[in-house]
Amino acid sequence: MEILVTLDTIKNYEGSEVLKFPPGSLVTKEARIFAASKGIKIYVGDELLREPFPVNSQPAKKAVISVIGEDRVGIIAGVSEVLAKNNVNILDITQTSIEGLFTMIMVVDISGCAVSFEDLKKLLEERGKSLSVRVDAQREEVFRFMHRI
Amino acid sequence: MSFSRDEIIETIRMVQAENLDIRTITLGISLRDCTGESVFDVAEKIYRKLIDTAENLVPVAKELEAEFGIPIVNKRISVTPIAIVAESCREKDLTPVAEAMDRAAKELNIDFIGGFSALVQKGFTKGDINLINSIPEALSSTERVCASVNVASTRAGINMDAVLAMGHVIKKTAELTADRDGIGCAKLVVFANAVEDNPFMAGAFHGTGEAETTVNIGISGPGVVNTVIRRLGEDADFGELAEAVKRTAFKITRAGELIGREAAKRLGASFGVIDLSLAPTPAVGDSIANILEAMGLERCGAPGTTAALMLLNDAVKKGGAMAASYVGGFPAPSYR
Repeated sequence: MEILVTLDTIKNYEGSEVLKFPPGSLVTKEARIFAASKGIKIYVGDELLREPFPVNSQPAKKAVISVIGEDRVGIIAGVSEVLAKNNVNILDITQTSIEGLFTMIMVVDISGCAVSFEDLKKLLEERGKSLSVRVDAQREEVFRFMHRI
Repeated sequence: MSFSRDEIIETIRMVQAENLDIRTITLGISLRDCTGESVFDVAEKIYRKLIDTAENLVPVAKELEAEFGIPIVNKRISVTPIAIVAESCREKDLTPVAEAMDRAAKELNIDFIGGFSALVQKGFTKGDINLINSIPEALSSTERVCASVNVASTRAGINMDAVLAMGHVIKKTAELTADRDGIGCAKLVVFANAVEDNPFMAGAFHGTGEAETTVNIGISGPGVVNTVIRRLGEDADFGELAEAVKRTAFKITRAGELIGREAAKRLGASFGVIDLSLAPTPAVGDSIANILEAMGLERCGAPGTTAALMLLNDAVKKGGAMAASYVGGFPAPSYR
């Protein structure tokens, strides 16, 4: 009988859809998260274990886009064109200078984005090149983790 | 929840101008199921297991790098000390194991693989002796394998036989790699009080008390701390100084925590620890000595260096401990 079911126990059964463990088995949270991500349902005795409530893992909704380079005509228009084409909504936009360089920061909503985050990033980088500025996109979590407890 | 412009700029500045990065993602892999009676068998089992387990490490690291916009400099693997895995091998030479590890590392695009190690603080087993004897050959015939030997601990004392043996091993390793600036020795660590979950090379190994696979993170950021201290000006007292360092260490560590949790989830591994030390690099401005000088020391090495280092260390660990769910690296901070 299994007293403790860990992540690695579940890994050994990867591919199955339903796992049954005897009544009284303890299933670690890590194991439940892994099982949920693989779509495995776990029964302890006759009872179906609830999927763990995801902590800190809400899917990315917002991203921060930064544009650094020399100021010129058309930077905002160029970048926002890429965003508009891919159904990305601009929530906030601000300009400043870091060490003398023009810096634009946009907070955007990517929940309805037509392409993957990686592709969006590539498109933005390409557009940045044609405008000779550096465009970077980061998921908002980085800022949440670093500046909020 | 939104952020002020200054907060966003601070993070961007840290990454782009002050060399903030995730120094390493180290995947610890247990090789306890790779034992056997022939060293060639063991080597083959290890190779297979590494290839199967760490397949996604580099792709996942690249994904995270792109999504979060923080560079991940090294992707590494640490394994169970090979002296334990190869204990029951008939052959005395364990070099084939190191070669198999090297082959796997190259195939997986891993920068370094640590764990060609033995823990002999109290005495030697057959496997420990075989491993120590194989180190010079193993390090000179491989590129990415790192070796370490723990020769002492606070509880057990110092194994002086091992210290003597390691002296010879270091010399022999240097000799064998003399044509390459003695590079073999750069991949060898002799430890006192080795920790089991250290993500930093060359001393990383996957301790026997660890889970099957764990993700450990090493963070970096001397450049960031340096800038913060310089911005304080000359008037700051020790309290303000410690406070500034703690705040910064908190932010750096949080970035590591985020990447570590996400990496563990995507790799299907447990999240291990974040090593709270400010790993320096040869990059200009990324040095611990610069921080000490920013703290008011005339020159690193002058009277007061130890006190300044202690103050810095203490503040970094305190700020970092609050930021991370699991921390490591306390006994072995690396400073240069």
